[in-house]
Amino acid sequence: MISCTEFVLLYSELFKFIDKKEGKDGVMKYWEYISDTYVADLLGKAVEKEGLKGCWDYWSKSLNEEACDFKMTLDEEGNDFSIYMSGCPSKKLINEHAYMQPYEDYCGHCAILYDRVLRNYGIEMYDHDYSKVKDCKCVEHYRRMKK
Amino acid sequence: MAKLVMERKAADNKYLHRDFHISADNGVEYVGNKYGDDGVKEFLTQFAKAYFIPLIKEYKEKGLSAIKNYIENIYKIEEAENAIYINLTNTYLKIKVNYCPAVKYMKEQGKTPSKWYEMTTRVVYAELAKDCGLKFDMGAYDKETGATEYSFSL
Repeated sequence: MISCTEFVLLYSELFKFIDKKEGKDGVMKYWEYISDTYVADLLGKAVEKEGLKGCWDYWSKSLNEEACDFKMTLDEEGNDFSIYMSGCPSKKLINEHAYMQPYEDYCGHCAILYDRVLRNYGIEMYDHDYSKVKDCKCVEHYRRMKK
Repeated sequence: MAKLVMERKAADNKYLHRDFHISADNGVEYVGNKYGDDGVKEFLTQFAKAYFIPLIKEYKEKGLSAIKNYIENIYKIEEAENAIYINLTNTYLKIKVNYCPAVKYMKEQGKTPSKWYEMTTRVVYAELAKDCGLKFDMGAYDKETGATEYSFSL
Protein backbone atom coordinates (compact mmCIF):
# COMPACT_ATOMS: atom_id res chain seq x y z
CA MET A 1 0.00 0.00 0.00
CA ILE A 2 1.07 3.49 -0.72
CA SER A 3 -0.13 5.59 2.20
CA CYS A 4 -2.27 8.64 1.48
CA THR A 5 0.50 10.61 3.18
CA GLU A 6 2.87 9.48 0.40
CA PHE A 7 0.46 10.29 -2.42
CA VAL A 8 1.94 13.69 -3.27
CA LEU A 9 5.26 12.03 -4.09
CA LEU A 10 3.51 9.46 -6.27
CA TYR A 11 1.66 12.30 -8.01
CA SER A 12 4.92 14.08 -8.75
CA GLU A 13 6.31 10.86 -10.25
CA LEU A 14 3.13 10.47 -12.30
CA PHE A 15 3.63 13.93 -13.81
CA LYS A 16 7.26 13.02 -14.58
CA PHE A 17 6.17 9.73 -16.14
CA ILE A 18 3.55 11.35 -18.39
CA ASP A 19 5.90 14.22 -19.28
CA LYS A 20 8.55 11.71 -20.36
CA LYS A 21 6.02 9.91 -22.57
CA GLU A 22 3.98 12.80 -23.94
CA GLY A 23 5.62 16.08 -22.94
CA LYS A 24 4.01 18.90 -20.94
CA ASP A 25 0.92 18.81 -23.18
CA GLY A 26 0.28 15.28 -21.96
CA VAL A 27 0.54 16.39 -18.34
CA MET A 28 -1.89 19.24 -19.02
CA LYS A 29 -4.29 16.75 -20.60
CA TYR A 30 -4.06 14.60 -17.47
CA TRP A 31 -4.84 17.58 -15.25
CA GLU A 32 -7.84 18.41 -17.46
CA TYR A 33 -8.99 14.79 -17.34
CA ILE A 34 -8.84 14.70 -13.54
CA SER A 35 -10.61 18.06 -13.37
CA ASP A 36 -13.41 16.87 -15.69
CA THR A 37 -13.92 13.60 -13.86
CA TYR A 38 -12.85 13.42 -10.20
CA VAL A 39 -12.83 17.11 -9.23
CA ALA A 40 -16.03 17.79 -11.14
CA ASP A 41 -17.72 15.10 -9.12
CA LEU A 42 -16.76 16.71 -5.79
CA LEU A 43 -16.22 20.45 -6.18
CA GLY A 44 -18.62 20.64 -9.11
CA LYS A 45 -21.47 19.11 -7.15
CA ALA A 46 -20.72 21.35 -4.16
CA VAL A 47 -20.95 24.59 -6.17
CA GLU A 48 -23.89 23.36 -8.22
CA LYS A 49 -25.81 23.09 -4.98
CA GLU A 50 -24.41 26.00 -2.99
CA GLY A 51 -22.79 28.41 -5.45
CA LEU A 52 -19.74 30.24 -4.06
CA LYS A 53 -20.49 28.71 -0.65
CA GLY A 54 -19.79 25.33 -2.26
CA CYS A 55 -16.14 26.41 -2.60
CA TRP A 56 -16.07 27.08 1.13
CA ASP A 57 -17.58 23.65 1.88
CA TYR A 58 -15.22 21.79 -0.48
CA TRP A 59 -12.02 23.40 0.72
CA SER A 60 -13.09 23.29 4.39
CA LYS A 61 -12.75 19.51 4.17
CA SER A 62 -9.63 19.19 2.04
CA LEU A 63 -7.51 21.97 3.55
CA ASN A 64 -8.19 20.72 7.08
CA GLU A 65 -7.53 17.07 6.21
CA GLU A 66 -4.33 18.12 4.46
CA ALA A 67 -3.30 20.03 7.62
CA CYS A 68 -2.66 23.21 5.69
CA ASP A 69 -1.54 26.48 7.21
CA PHE A 70 -4.18 28.74 5.70
CA LYS A 71 -6.79 31.43 5.91
CA MET A 72 -9.97 31.16 3.92
CA THR A 73 -12.63 33.83 3.51
CA LEU A 74 -16.10 33.87 1.99
CA ASP A 75 -17.95 37.12 1.33
CA GLU A 76 -21.01 36.24 -0.70
CA GLU A 77 -22.33 39.81 -0.82
CA GLY A 78 -18.93 41.07 -1.87
CA ASN A 79 -18.70 38.18 -4.39
CA ASP A 80 -15.37 36.79 -3.22
CA PHE A 81 -14.02 33.49 -2.00
CA SER A 82 -10.31 33.54 -1.21
CA ILE A 83 -7.66 31.12 -0.03
CA TYR A 84 -4.47 32.46 1.52
CA MET A 85 -2.14 29.47 1.73
CA SER A 86 0.81 30.17 3.97
CA GLY A 87 1.99 26.60 4.36
CA CYS A 88 1.03 24.02 1.75
CA PRO A 89 1.88 20.58 3.17
CA SER A 90 1.99 19.01 -0.30
CA LYS A 91 4.63 21.42 -1.53
CA LYS A 92 6.47 21.09 1.79
CA LEU A 93 6.59 17.31 1.29
CA ILE A 94 7.84 17.81 -2.26
CA ASN A 95 10.57 20.14 -1.00
CA GLU A 96 11.56 17.67 1.72
CA HIS A 97 12.03 14.99 -0.95
CA ALA A 98 14.23 17.02 -3.26
CA TYR A 99 16.38 13.90 -3.75
CA MET A 100 13.52 12.50 -5.88
CA GLN A 101 13.92 15.41 -8.29
CA PRO A 102 10.22 16.28 -8.12
CA TYR A 103 8.24 17.48 -11.13
CA GLU A 104 9.25 21.08 -11.70
CA ASP A 105 5.72 22.42 -12.23
CA TYR A 106 4.15 20.31 -9.50
CA CYS A 107 1.95 23.19 -8.32
CA GLY A 108 0.70 23.79 -11.87
CA HIS A 109 -2.09 21.28 -11.39
CA CYS A 110 -3.90 23.48 -8.84
CA ALA A 111 -4.49 26.25 -11.37
CA ILE A 112 -6.05 23.82 -13.85
CA LEU A 113 -7.97 21.40 -11.64
CA TYR A 114 -10.28 23.84 -9.89
CA ASP A 115 -10.83 26.84 -12.17
CA ARG A 116 -11.76 24.55 -15.07
CA VAL A 117 -14.58 22.95 -13.05
CA LEU A 118 -15.80 26.16 -11.48
CA ARG A 119 -16.21 27.93 -14.82
CA ASN A 120 -18.86 25.36 -15.74
CA TYR A 121 -20.87 26.71 -12.82
CA GLY A 122 -20.29 30.43 -13.43
CA ILE A 123 -17.41 30.89 -10.98
CA GLU A 124 -13.92 31.99 -11.99
CA MET A 125 -10.52 32.44 -10.43
CA TYR A 126 -10.20 36.19 -11.01
CA ASP A 127 -6.83 36.71 -9.37
CA HIS A 128 -3.98 34.70 -7.91
CA ASP A 129 -0.43 34.98 -6.65
CA TYR A 130 1.76 31.97 -7.41
CA SER A 131 5.03 33.89 -7.06
CA LYS A 132 5.93 32.12 -3.79
CA VAL A 133 4.85 28.54 -4.49
CA LYS A 134 8.41 27.35 -3.95
CA ASP A 135 8.01 28.55 -0.36
CA CYS A 136 4.69 26.67 -0.05
CA LYS A 137 2.66 29.88 -0.26
CA CYS A 138 -0.02 30.96 -2.73
CA VAL A 139 -3.20 33.01 -2.94
CA GLU A 140 -6.32 32.38 -5.02
CA HIS A 141 -9.41 34.57 -5.40
CA TYR A 142 -12.66 33.32 -6.91
CA ARG A 143 -15.92 35.10 -7.79
CA ARG A 144 -19.18 34.60 -9.60
CA MET A 145 -18.78 35.52 -13.24
CA LYS A 146 -20.81 38.38 -14.71
CA LYS A 147 -23.74 37.08 -16.75
CA MET B 1 -24.87 36.89 4.85
CA ALA B 2 -21.95 37.58 7.18
CA LYS B 3 -18.43 37.16 5.96
CA LEU B 4 -16.97 33.76 6.88
CA VAL B 5 -13.35 33.38 7.92
CA MET B 6 -11.46 30.17 8.72
CA GLU B 7 -7.86 30.24 9.85
CA ARG B 8 -5.81 27.16 10.70
CA LYS B 9 -2.23 26.30 11.52
CA ALA B 10 -0.71 23.06 10.27
CA ALA B 11 -0.49 21.79 13.86
CA ASP B 12 -4.27 22.15 14.30
CA ASN B 13 -4.93 19.06 12.19
CA LYS B 14 -3.48 15.63 11.47
CA TYR B 15 -2.20 15.19 7.93
CA LEU B 16 -4.53 12.45 6.75
CA HIS B 17 -6.43 13.22 3.57
CA ARG B 18 -7.78 9.79 2.68
CA ASP B 19 -9.22 11.02 -0.62
CA PHE B 20 -5.61 10.86 -1.83
CA HIS B 21 -6.09 7.07 -2.02
CA ILE B 22 -8.71 7.67 -4.70
CA SER B 23 -6.43 10.15 -6.47
CA ALA B 24 -3.61 7.62 -6.42
CA ASP B 25 -5.81 4.95 -7.95
CA ASN B 26 -7.12 7.44 -10.53
CA GLY B 27 -3.52 8.07 -11.58
CA VAL B 28 -2.68 4.37 -11.79
CA GLU B 29 -5.86 3.69 -13.75
CA TYR B 30 -5.09 6.52 -16.19
CA VAL B 31 -1.66 5.03 -16.89
CA GLY B 32 -3.14 1.52 -17.14
CA ASN B 33 -5.78 2.56 -19.65
CA LYS B 34 -3.21 4.39 -21.76
CA TYR B 35 -0.10 2.25 -21.43
CA GLY B 36 -1.34 -1.10 -20.16
CA ASP B 37 0.16 -3.32 -17.46
CA ASP B 38 3.70 -2.60 -18.61
CA GLY B 39 3.10 1.14 -18.32
CA VAL B 40 1.78 0.80 -14.75
CA LYS B 41 4.79 -1.34 -13.88
CA GLU B 42 7.16 1.21 -15.38
CA PHE B 43 5.48 4.10 -13.54
CA LEU B 44 5.39 2.37 -10.14
CA THR B 45 8.95 1.11 -10.53
CA GLN B 46 10.06 4.67 -11.26
CA PHE B 47 8.28 5.81 -8.09
CA ALA B 48 9.80 3.06 -5.93
CA LYS B 49 13.32 3.61 -7.27
CA ALA B 50 13.13 7.32 -6.45
CA TYR B 51 11.18 7.23 -3.19
CA PHE B 52 12.95 4.42 -1.37
CA ILE B 53 16.52 5.71 -1.69
CA PRO B 54 16.72 6.60 2.05
CA LEU B 55 14.97 3.35 3.09
CA ILE B 56 17.41 1.25 1.06
CA LYS B 57 20.27 3.07 2.77
CA GLU B 58 18.66 2.38 6.13
CA TYR B 59 18.19 -1.29 5.25
CA LYS B 60 21.90 -1.57 4.50
CA GLU B 61 22.65 -0.21 7.98
CA LYS B 62 19.93 -1.90 10.05
CA GLY B 63 18.67 -4.87 8.05
CA LEU B 64 15.08 -6.05 7.69
CA SER B 65 13.92 -4.11 10.76
CA ALA B 66 14.20 -0.93 8.67
CA ILE B 67 11.57 -2.23 6.23
CA LYS B 68 9.45 -3.56 9.09
CA ASN B 69 9.47 -0.15 10.77
CA TYR B 70 8.57 1.58 7.52
CA ILE B 71 5.58 -0.69 6.84
CA GLU B 72 4.44 -0.65 10.46
CA ASN B 73 4.55 3.14 10.44
CA ILE B 74 2.41 3.66 7.34
CA TYR B 75 -0.33 1.47 8.80
CA LYS B 76 -0.07 3.42 12.05
CA ILE B 77 -0.42 6.69 10.16
CA GLU B 78 -3.46 5.23 8.40
CA GLU B 79 -4.88 4.36 11.83
CA ALA B 80 -5.01 0.71 10.78
CA GLU B 81 -2.48 -1.06 13.00
CA ASN B 82 -4.91 -3.98 13.23
CA ALA B 83 -4.78 -4.45 9.47
CA ILE B 84 -1.42 -6.19 9.51
CA TYR B 85 0.40 -8.96 11.33
CA ILE B 86 4.20 -8.85 11.16
CA ASN B 87 6.67 -11.68 11.60
CA LEU B 88 10.33 -10.67 11.58
CA THR B 89 13.29 -13.04 11.92
CA ASN B 90 16.96 -12.68 11.04
CA THR B 91 16.30 -13.99 7.55
CA TYR B 92 12.82 -12.86 6.57
CA LEU B 93 10.07 -10.34 7.12
CA LYS B 94 6.56 -11.64 6.55
CA ILE B 95 3.54 -9.35 6.45
CA LYS B 96 -0.01 -10.61 6.59
CA VAL B 97 -2.45 -7.92 5.49
CA ASN B 98 -5.93 -8.59 6.86
CA TYR B 99 -7.39 -5.68 4.93
CA CYS B 100 -6.06 -2.67 3.10
CA PRO B 101 -7.22 0.64 4.65
CA ALA B 102 -6.97 2.30 1.24
CA VAL B 103 -9.29 -0.26 -0.35
CA LYS B 104 -11.62 0.02 2.64
CA TYR B 105 -11.79 3.80 2.30
CA MET B 106 -12.29 3.75 -1.45
CA LYS B 107 -15.15 1.27 -1.15
CA GLU B 108 -16.74 3.37 1.60
CA GLN B 109 -16.73 6.27 -0.86
CA GLY B 110 -18.36 4.14 -3.55
CA LYS B 111 -15.17 3.79 -5.58
CA THR B 112 -14.11 0.39 -6.85
CA PRO B 113 -10.31 0.22 -7.00
CA SER B 114 -8.97 -0.26 -10.51
CA LYS B 115 -7.66 -3.62 -11.65
CA TRP B 116 -4.15 -2.19 -11.39
CA TYR B 117 -4.44 -1.11 -7.74
CA GLU B 118 -2.80 -4.22 -6.30
CA MET B 119 0.31 -3.29 -8.28
CA THR B 120 0.84 -0.41 -5.83
CA THR B 121 1.88 -3.16 -3.42
CA ARG B 122 3.16 -5.92 -5.73
CA VAL B 123 5.34 -3.78 -7.99
CA VAL B 124 6.43 -1.16 -5.46
CA TYR B 125 7.62 -3.67 -2.85
CA ALA B 126 9.17 -5.95 -5.46
CA GLU B 127 11.31 -3.02 -6.58
CA LEU B 128 12.18 -2.16 -2.98
CA ALA B 129 13.29 -5.75 -2.41
CA LYS B 130 15.28 -5.81 -5.64
CA ASP B 131 17.12 -2.60 -4.76
CA CYS B 132 17.90 -4.03 -1.31
CA GLY B 133 19.13 -7.31 -2.81
CA LEU B 134 16.25 -9.22 -1.21
CA LYS B 135 13.81 -11.80 -2.50
CA PHE B 136 10.16 -10.74 -2.60
CA ASP B 137 7.16 -13.04 -2.70
CA MET B 138 3.53 -12.02 -2.67
CA GLY B 139 0.60 -14.38 -2.55
CA ALA B 140 -2.95 -13.98 -3.80
CA TYR B 141 -4.56 -10.56 -3.49
CA ASP B 142 -8.20 -10.21 -2.49
CA LYS B 143 -9.57 -7.38 -4.60
CA GLU B 144 -12.55 -6.94 -2.27
CA THR B 145 -10.50 -6.20 0.85
CA GLY B 146 -6.89 -5.83 -0.27
CA ALA B 147 -5.97 -8.76 1.98
CA THR B 148 -2.76 -10.52 1.01
CA GLU B 149 0.52 -11.89 2.34
CA TYR B 150 4.01 -10.96 1.26
CA SER B 151 7.56 -11.43 2.41
CA PHE B 152 11.04 -10.01 2.04
CA SER B 153 13.78 -12.59 2.57
CA LEU B 154 17.56 -12.85 2.40
